[in-house]
Amino acid sequence: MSSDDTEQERLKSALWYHVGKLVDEACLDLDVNATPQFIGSLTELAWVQLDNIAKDLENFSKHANRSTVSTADVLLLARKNPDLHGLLQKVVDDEAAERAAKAVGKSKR
Amino acid sequence: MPPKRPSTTGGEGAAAHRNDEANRDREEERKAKIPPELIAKLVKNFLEDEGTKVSGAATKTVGEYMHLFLTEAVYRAVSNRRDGDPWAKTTNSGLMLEVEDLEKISPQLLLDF
Repeated sequence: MSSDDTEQERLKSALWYHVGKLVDEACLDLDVNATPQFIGSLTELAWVQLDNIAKDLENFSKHANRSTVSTADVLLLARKNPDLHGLLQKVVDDEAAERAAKAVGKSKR
Repeated sequence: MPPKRPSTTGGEGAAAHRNDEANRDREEERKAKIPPELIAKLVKNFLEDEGTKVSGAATKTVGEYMHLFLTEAVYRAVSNRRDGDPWAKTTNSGLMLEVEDLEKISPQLLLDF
């Protein structure tokens, strides 16, 4: 399946690019530099991590008899890390508040 | 155009810039974020069941998760080289992060995420 392979390569390149930008930003904050090899390896790590969490998310949602991955599933990913859970919970709450505000705005119009 | 790197020499200029920077901090963090469209495609790529969908809010949260994961990796790598103080700026300059640094922190990083 060569077309599938090319798609994977393209996705990985896109991820590489954004990982690079993220690392550069963090490096600016800390006043350090990262080698391209570091960014490449980190991309590989992120790739594997995404693979793992995507399959976890799928199984979590299936376990809850859903076919759509929800924020509750993502929060479940961080169940072993309370700090991470707190940070993600905040994002989820902000997102929900934003949506609620938008819904109110729409209904008023 | 403000300078990308905060200057280390400026007096009041640097202070004003720092204030400015605090305001812009969130915005800038958002700027370097992995786009949700890419996250959605990546997650979809890894799903085994064609029928599984991912909600928009969930995609956004996964984006934040990956952002934290990647940033944490860099901070831990620096921290590891600097004996637990990633902010030891005076000694940081010129520090090059190598693959070895990532290798050292990745086991614990993967356990924590």
